[in-house]
Parts: sequence; structure tokens; C-alpha cells
Amino acid sequence: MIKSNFSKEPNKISRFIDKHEIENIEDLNNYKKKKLEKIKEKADDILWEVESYKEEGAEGLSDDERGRIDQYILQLKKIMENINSKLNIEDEEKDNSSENFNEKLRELGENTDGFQELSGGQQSLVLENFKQLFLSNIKEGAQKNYKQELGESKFLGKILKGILKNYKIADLEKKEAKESFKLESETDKQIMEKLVQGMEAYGPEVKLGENGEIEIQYAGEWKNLNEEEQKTVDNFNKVATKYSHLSYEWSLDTSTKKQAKQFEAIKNEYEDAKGEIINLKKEKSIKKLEEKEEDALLYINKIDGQIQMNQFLNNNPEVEKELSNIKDQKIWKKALTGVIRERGIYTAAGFITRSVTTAAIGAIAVPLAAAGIGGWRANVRAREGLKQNDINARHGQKDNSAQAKNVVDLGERSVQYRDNKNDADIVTVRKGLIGKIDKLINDIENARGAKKKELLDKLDIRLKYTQGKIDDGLVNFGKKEDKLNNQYLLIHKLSDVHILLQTNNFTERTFKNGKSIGSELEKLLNLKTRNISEERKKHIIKKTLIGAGISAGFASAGYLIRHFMGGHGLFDKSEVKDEISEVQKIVEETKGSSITEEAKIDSTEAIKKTGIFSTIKKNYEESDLNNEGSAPEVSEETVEVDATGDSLKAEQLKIDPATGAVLKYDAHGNLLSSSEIDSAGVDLEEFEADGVTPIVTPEITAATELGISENISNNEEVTPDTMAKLLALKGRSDGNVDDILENNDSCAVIEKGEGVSQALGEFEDSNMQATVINPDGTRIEGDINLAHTGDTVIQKDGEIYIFKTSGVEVSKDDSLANAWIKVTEEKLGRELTSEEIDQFDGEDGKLEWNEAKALHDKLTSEKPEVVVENTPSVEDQAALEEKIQDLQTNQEEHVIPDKPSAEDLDTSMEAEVDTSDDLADTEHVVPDKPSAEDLDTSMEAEVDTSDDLADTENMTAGKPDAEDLEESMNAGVDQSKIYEQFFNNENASAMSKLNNETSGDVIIRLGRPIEMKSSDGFFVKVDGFRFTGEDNTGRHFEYFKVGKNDPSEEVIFKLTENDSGNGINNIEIKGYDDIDNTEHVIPDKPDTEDLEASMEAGVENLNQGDTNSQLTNSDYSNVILKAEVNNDLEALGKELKLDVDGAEVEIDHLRLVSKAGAKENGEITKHFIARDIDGKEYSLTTKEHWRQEPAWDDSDKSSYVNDGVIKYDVKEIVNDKGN
Amino acid sequence: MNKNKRQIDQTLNKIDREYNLTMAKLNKVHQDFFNFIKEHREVKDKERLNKLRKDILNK
Repeated sequence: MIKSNFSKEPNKISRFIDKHEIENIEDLNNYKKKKLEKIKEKADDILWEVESYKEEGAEGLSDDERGRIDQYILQLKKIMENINSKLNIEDEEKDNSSENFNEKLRELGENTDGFQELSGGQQSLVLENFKQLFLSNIKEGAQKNYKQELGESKFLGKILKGILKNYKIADLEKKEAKESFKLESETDKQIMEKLVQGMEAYGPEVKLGENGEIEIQYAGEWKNLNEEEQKTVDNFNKVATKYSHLSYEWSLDTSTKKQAKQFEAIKNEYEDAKGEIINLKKEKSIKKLEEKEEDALLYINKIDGQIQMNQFLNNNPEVEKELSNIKDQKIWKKALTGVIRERGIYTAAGFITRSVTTAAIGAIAVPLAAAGIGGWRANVRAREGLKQNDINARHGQKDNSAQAKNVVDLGERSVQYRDNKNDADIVTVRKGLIGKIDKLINDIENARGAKKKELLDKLDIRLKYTQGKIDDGLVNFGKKEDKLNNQYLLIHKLSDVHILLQTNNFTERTFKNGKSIGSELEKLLNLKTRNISEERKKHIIKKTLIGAGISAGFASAGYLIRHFMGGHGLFDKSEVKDEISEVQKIVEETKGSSITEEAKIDSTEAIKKTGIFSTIKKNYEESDLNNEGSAPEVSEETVEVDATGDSLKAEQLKIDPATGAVLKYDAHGNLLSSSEIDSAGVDLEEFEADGVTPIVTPEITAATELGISENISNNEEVTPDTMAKLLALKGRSDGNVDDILENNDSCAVIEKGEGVSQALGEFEDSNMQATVINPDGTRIEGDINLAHTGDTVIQKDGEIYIFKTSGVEVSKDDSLANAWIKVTEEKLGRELTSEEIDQFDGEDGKLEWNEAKALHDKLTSEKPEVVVENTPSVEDQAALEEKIQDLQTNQEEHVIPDKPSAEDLDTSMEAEVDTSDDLADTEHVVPDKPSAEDLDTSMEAEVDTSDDLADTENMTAGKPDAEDLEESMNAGVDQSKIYEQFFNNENASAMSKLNNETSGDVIIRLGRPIEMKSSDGFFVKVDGFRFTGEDNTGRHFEYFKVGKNDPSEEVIFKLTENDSGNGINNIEIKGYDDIDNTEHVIPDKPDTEDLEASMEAGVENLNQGDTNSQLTNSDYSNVILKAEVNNDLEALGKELKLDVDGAEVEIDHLRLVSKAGAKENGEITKHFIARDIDGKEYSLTTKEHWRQEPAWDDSDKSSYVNDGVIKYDVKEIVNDKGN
Repeated sequence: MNKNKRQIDQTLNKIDREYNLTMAKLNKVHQDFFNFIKEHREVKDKERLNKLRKDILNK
């Protein structure tokens, strides 16, 4: 007999303190405090719900109704006041007022070393940046808390929490915010320190404008400027700040005309200002004469890079948008929104944190840049010396001699042709070098397939041509004042082209280990373990690559500038120097380059990304990129190029994930620089002894204990042994190890509803062998069916290891049954009885998969037992009722039936512990006494009616809302349906939510497997499916699941836009055939109703009296469902089995051929052709009985209910082939 | 010792009872509130449906 040994979540009450462990007053006080807090939490929740409803949820509330809501609020507030007075809580609102927050923030800044030395503008920038980080930290924390809470909930709780997720997260944010607003934590101090340090080290000078707006001094510091020159610098700063605020998207074809126009105007302004400043820089450069141009070009390349990256990042969610997503705005409005309104400075404020992100993207860009440079080198040819004429031509004096006709123009030029045929002169504009390149690039972006390839080849030729022209000195860069800027433009354009060519290669190219850059990025950006769709992943990877491309463009441009200028003035050198020594020179020159300074600044997000640096580097080294193609064999692999074109040795620099500091290592991995060690190599015990929470990442804590590398989360060297060590530490109170297990790139934690296949993101055969490591360290050889939700899987060298991080211990023999017991228990939300467990054991000790599943289905189709958390025991309820009655009859008498005998208690104990009867004082506000029955329902309300809350008002007109639906279906149906309806109910509400919610997740529980129609008209079982679509305002949602198709599946629609939408259109549902993974698409684009209908198994939606009509998906569902209900056809989950002459045949495809009869007539006959897994076909006839039901509302319309398939007849079709 | 334990138990009972009572009150308010919403929604739904029906009939 197998015993279920699954760990049970303790219920919430027992999670307080175990009563038996209470030994002294302190414990008692803690116990009481926790209880009070629990009540407060609940009261908070309810109050929030009520207030929300009053504020936004209800349309057209009458004064009377508002009065009633106010009454509820009053009641709740009274209860809360009471609790607060007991908890001695001061008015937190006071603490959180905006003045208070800003005061505290400034105080925090002023107490930080170095803050006072910053300029006023820089100080403001630091404080603004702090606020940004602060907000994102809160959001992050709230998400984490939510997940924790979800993990602790029982089954039903999970569903409800899923529905209420949006509300909940907002709520948690509020709580999180309350805590954090004190700005007292060590984390706050450290972040502030980092920001100040960053500003000191990197610090763009910042000026405050008249209205307090921040203007970044992009142009940097200048000395000895006259008035005119100062104007040039000021103008550049102003225009550059303005330009940097534009969105990158506006520069693309996808922008609107207005955007493009605006972008163009500001861009031109910027180009002009840039032209001026680049000349000024050259003039003022303190470098040697021959290096002045190089200095100026590098200078502008860096600034340009920063600005363009800023533009690119502008597309990320803005802070203000984030703020508007927090439901309870009271606190935020007071503390932050005011600040925003005072000064609209958010984009500028993001500058510093962004520079870190920029550095991170720069790191991703490294292989691209290196490849680009490699391409460049391949094309470089040693050139002969230039002739004087050529040099003249390049300086704006057009030489018309025949010898010089090959000089090409950089910019546009009017050209006059003689048209002899028509005897006329034609004047046309000829595109210059840049124009031609631009046109090609533009064409490439719009092209596909072979055409694209052709264009890319053309671009490659054009690139070589232009390079040749430059090397030959045959480019006309225009007049002196434009020359330098034009040179920059061309170099940059060439650099872009290299990157473009390389990127296009990249997307198809794979590394030597068989992984594509896409899959690598997916891993690095931690996309694998997250529950997001393939589409979304692709989108993220695409965007990252675009960013990396931009960054790489600047990186290689920086390189090219150095390469070309080489201290000799542009293109004047007669031969290319020894490339290897040149590269090395650059590396030496730029040791400790600006990236190290920039990267010192802390930014949680960016730091995580920067960890990829070494990984990409490694992959690059392993890849075929660095020595393929015609690139000469140079030691490029030793060159890393940062976002601004500066080079550095990657193996010597490592970004500390904890602090963002750049640590220097020598070639043997010894730490060289010591300035940042303190924060990385913290003495944990010392910190903890002081009661201070150290700002140390989980990786470091665990790594310290395990003696393994601290950046384990980005380390592919996680071996089964390391995992075993980690597991030994799992469950530690700080949760760090669990974090590692969950966040490690090379392993995945199985989430609810997933299997090993999904977790690993690869298809795995369900019989695939796996090594299973139990919590106690024992290993068994089993198959991947031994995995449970919460387990950690890693795949190494083709082998699968399953670590039972779920805590479920398995042995080889009991695996299947145990798995099913667990699933069943989860679904039922209760423990199985021993009799039920015995059933899973089977007669001979082992059930086959299908048998176990059938048993599971049978058990779960019974009415679920609603488990209500916090339900008082029967005794408690009785006592409660007694108490209530007591209070009602005699309000003065505050005597609790069984006296607490306070007098017996020690007086000091009394003073601290004694709970007066204040709690009871509010009794009079409760209108009528809550009887035990009331209690029951009110408790249930916690579970059931939340549905109503989520069920928004705007259900499609004329459609029954979830509740009505339930009523109509409840009439005369058997109990087995109710469970189904529970989900339908939820679906209706979720669909409604999908229609009305603006962001976040909407969860729909399928309630049954999805079947789809294949192109040959058959319905097929699908093993995975994908929903994508958008509503009519362009809001996107998607869901994707492969390898799983079971009724408990949740479809989570991720709404990605924040626009309010009405109505879903353009939904595409694709299914994947479980036999050969063929894609099937639901033929017609279903609108909301179709989708809803297709999900509401059991809801009647056949067309009345419609014979031989085109069938919808729901027709099929009807057959299957009815078959299940009536047990006439044996349908096991997604498997339909037919009884053919006593033999059981598994049907894989099903096609409806004809339909006769009508609901009104009480009978519908359907004729199907069924196909089994071997391809044999059967003729199947079913007969359904229908009866009339009264209307669900007070209208006259009645509805029809299907009583199920009452009869079916099946025959094998023998065709010519002899099947 | 035993006496002490008994005192603790009694206090615990008192705390629990108060907790349950207050929770019950909260649940009651919650329930009332939901009943109110339900009622409110039903009225609105009916109004809307009637209007819709009228609209259709008028067409």
C-alpha cells in the first residue's frame, strides 16, 4: 500500500505560532499580535474592496446605495480603529506624506558621503534616480510576495488569487510601500551611496532649468570658452537633451507621419549642433595636432552612443505609466506624483541608471561588434599613396579632370544629364554614399527571403566599394566646416552596415555547440523558466538584438575611428599599420576605460544583465564567428569593445552581481582591485550579528557556504553534484538557495501545469529516462513522469536529472500512483482518504497510466469539497454564536462565558496581554447578528463571491452573466456537472475581464481539453496550443503551451498594453497535433463569443435545427462531453474510445459528416467519421435527446438542454485499400 | 507550573475567541457588501436587458 507522503501546506491559522509552544508572556504577546495583524490584514483587504467598488467599480450608484457603502466603510473602519489601538499603530499616512518622504529622501542623501560635494543639479538627479529605483524595487518585491502567497495557498485559493491577481499585486505594492517608505533599510543606504559614487565618478554635469527641469550636460566640461563658444556648447546640451528624449521607434518606418516629422526636425537640429561641437572639440582638443581629429570623433561617438541608447530605452515602460498602474494611489499620489507634476523630468532622471543598462547592452553587443570589425578587416586592403589631386578633391575642391572622376560625394548632389534623344538637359539629384547605403538598408528591412539575401549581397558590395573609395581617398567630404561631421557620419554608417550584415548572419548562425544566438539570449535573459509565450520571447530577443546592434554600431565605429585616424589624420596614411599591434595599443590605451566608471552604479536590472558578459564572451570564443570568413588571423578574441568603442580585456573584468562594481582579475582569476571588495566579500556572520540585513545576493550567500563561484546563477557549470549540495541547503529560512534553484539558467523549476518538457522548453518523450534525486539524497533511475510541480530539472549531456525540490519523495515503483494522487489531491483541494489511495494502488499494485487517469477523472468529477481557509471549528462556531447572543442581550456585560480569569494572571502579564473587550464594542454596528449559518455563508463568500467581484459589469449585452449561466445550467443537471460549471463560471468572468481589464493577466481554465479541426475536416486531438490575438485597440495577449492539454490547464492571457479595450478580435488559436506536431488553426477567426463558447464545455450552443451546416468547434465538444456524462462513449480525458464489436478502439480524429433533426423536435442525429490511431475509419452515429428549459431571465425565451448522447452506433468502414 | 500553563491556555482561548469574533464580524460586513453588490448588479443587468429588449422590439 502506498502512503501519500506529500507535504501539506499548513493552514493559515496554524502558521502563526504553534499554541503548544507558547511558554511565556512574550510568546503570548506575539501570538496575540499576529492574530491582530491577521485581522487587520483582512479588514484592510475588505476595506480596499469596498472603497474600490465605490470609487470605480460601480456605475450609476444612487445616493442611497452610496450611503450603504459608506455604512460598510464605517463599520470596517471602526473595527480597524479598534485593532489599531491594540496594535499601537501610529497613523502611517502621516509618515508617508510627500513632504515627509522627500524630507527623508533628502536626509538620506545628505547623510551620504560625497552628496554635499555634488552640484545642485547632480543632487537632484541622484534623488530622482533613487526614486526610480525605489519604485522598481517595490514593484519587484510585491511580485515576489505575491508568488510566495500563491505558493502557500490551497487549490481554490489559487484560482481566486489568479483571478484577483491584478488587485492583489496592487494591494501588496501598497503594503510593501508602507514598509519601504521609511527609507531606513540598509539597502536604501547602499543604493544611495552607489548613486552618489556613480555621480561623482561618472557624473554628467547637470543643470537645473528655470522650471526645475534637468538638463544633462552631454557636452561635458569645457575650459577657456569665449561667449560665442559657450553658446555653442549650451545649445548642444539643450538640443542633445531634447533629442535624447525622443523615442527610437519614431525613427523607424512604423512611426506615424507626425512622429517622423517631429523626429526629423529635432534630429536635424541635433545634427547641426553636433557639427558645431565636433569642430569646437577639435579646436579645443589638448591632444597633439595630428590626434585632434581622432579625439573629436571619439568624443562625439561616445555622446552620440549615449543619446541613441537613451532613445532606444525610452520605449521601456515609463515611470509615470507604472505609477498609474498602482490601484491604491493614495500613497503614491502624495509622495511621488506630486513630484512628477512639479517637474517633468523622468526621462532625464533615467540617465544614470540607463548608462548601466547601456553598458549591459554593450556587453551583449560585444560579439556583434567584434564580428563587425572582423568583417571590416577582411575588406581592408593596403592602398597606395594618394595623389595630390585626390587630396584636394576630398577637401571640397571638385577636380573636374578625367583622372579624378572617381571621386564620390558623401551627401546628395544635383547632377545634370544631357538627354540626347529628347535634346534636353535633365537635372536630377544623385544620392551620395550615405544616401545609397541608407536606401539599401531600408530596402533590406522591408524585404524577405531571397530578395533580402540579394539585397544583403548588394549591401556587402556597396560596403566594399565605399571602403575602397575611402581607402583610396576618393570621397568628397564637403567643406571644411562640415568635413569632420561628415567623416563621422560615414564612419558610423559603415559601422552600422557591418553590424547589419553580421546581425543578419547572426540570427541564422549557430555557435559551435549548436545553439543559436537566439537561444543563448533566451537563456541569458532568463526567458526559459518564465511562463511567457514563444512569440513574446522572440519579441524580447529581437528587441535586445536591436539594442545590441545599435550599441555594437557605436562600438565598432569607435574602433574604426581609432583604426583610421591612427594619429595621422583621416585617410592620409599610405598604408595600414600592423593591425595586431594597433589593436593591442588600443587595449593598453583604454585600460580602466569609462565603462568601469559607469558600471559602478547600482541597478538591479542592469546588473543581472551584465552577468551575461562573460557567457557571451565565452560562447563567442567557442563559436565559429571569430575565425570564420575572410577575416585575417588577428588576435581579435582578446579585444572586447564596450558600448562606446573603448576596448577592454573581458577576462580581467567581472561585474559583481551584488553591487554592480567592476572587479578586476588577473589572468589567473585573482582579484586585483580592492576598492569594491568590501561590498562583494562581506563577512556575512558579522553583518548578521549586528542585526543588519546585508545587501548580498542569494548567490553570494549560498556560494560562500558551498565554496562555489558567486555568480552561479549565470554559470553553466551547475553539475548534479552542485545541485545536490544546494538541495542539502534548501529550505533555509532566508530562501536563498531556493532562489538559486529557481533562477539558475541551466535548470528549471517545474511550475504548476507543466511537465519536464515545458520546463526544459524541449519536447521530451514521456517515457524518457531520468535520474531522480530525492530530498534525502537517494538516487533512483526512473522516467520523467516522476517529476512534480516544484521540482527542479536539469538536462546535462542529454541526460535528465530531476531534483525533488518539491519535497515529494518518490521511489521507482510507486511513482505513477503517487503522481496521480498528488494531482488528484491538488485538484480536489483535500487529502484523499485511505480507501481512495488504495484505489490508486490497483489490484496488482500497479495501475497503468490510463487507469490512473480514469480514476483521477472519476474522483475529480465528483463535487469538489470546498475547503475554506480559516473556518472556525464547529466548537468555535458554537462558542461564537453563544458569545454573540450574549453580547446582544446584554451589551454592558463584557463577560466572556468561560472567564479568562484575568485576576489569576500575573499582573505584569495582565498589563501586557490583557485584551479588553474592545473588540466587542463595535457590535452595535453590525445590523443583525451573524448566526452560525451566516458565518458559513460569509465564509463561503470569501471563496465564491470573489468571482462576482472579478466579474466586471460590462458583460456582453444580452449574454447571461456567469451567475445566470450557472442558474440556467443548474436546473436538473446532475452533480458531476457542477464542477465543470465552476470553471465555466470562472471562464465567463475571465472572458469578461479580458474584455475590460487593461493590463495584467487574465486566467481562463479550460475545463476540458481543446480539440481542433484539421485542414481535412477532421477534429484532432492537440497536444499543445497557442492563443494569440489582439483587441480592437491593439492590446495584445497570448498564451502558448506545448505538450500538455489537460482540463486543469489555465490559459493565462497576458495583456501587454495599457489601453482600455472593448471586444476581442483577431484571435488565432493554433493547435499542435500530438502525433506529428502538425499545426492546426481554428479556421475562422473567432470573436470573443466563439472563444467563450469553445471553452464553455457543456454550454449548449448548437445551432437550432441547422442541418448539415458548417460545424464549430463546440459541436465536437458537445459530443465528447455528453459522452463523458453518459458514459455511453468511453471518453478518457482527451481520449475518445469507441466500442467496436466489443473491442476498444482509440479514436484520434473525428469528423462530423451530417446532422439531422432539431432541438425543437427533441432529437438530433449526427453522423461522424472517426479515425483511429492506425488510420482505420469508422462510421459513428449518435443520437442526442433535447428538452426545453424555462428561460434564465424573465423573458419568454426558453432554452434547450441536451440530455446527452443516448445511443450510438459504430461500424468500421472498409475501403478499397482493405483497411 | 501547571497553574501557569492553565493561565496561558485561558488567555490563549480568550485571544482565539476574540479573533474568531472579530473575523466573524468582518465576514459579516463582507457578506453584506457582496449581497449588496449582487443586488445592485442584478438590478442593473435587468435594466440593461429590458432596455435592450425594448430597443430590439422598436427596431
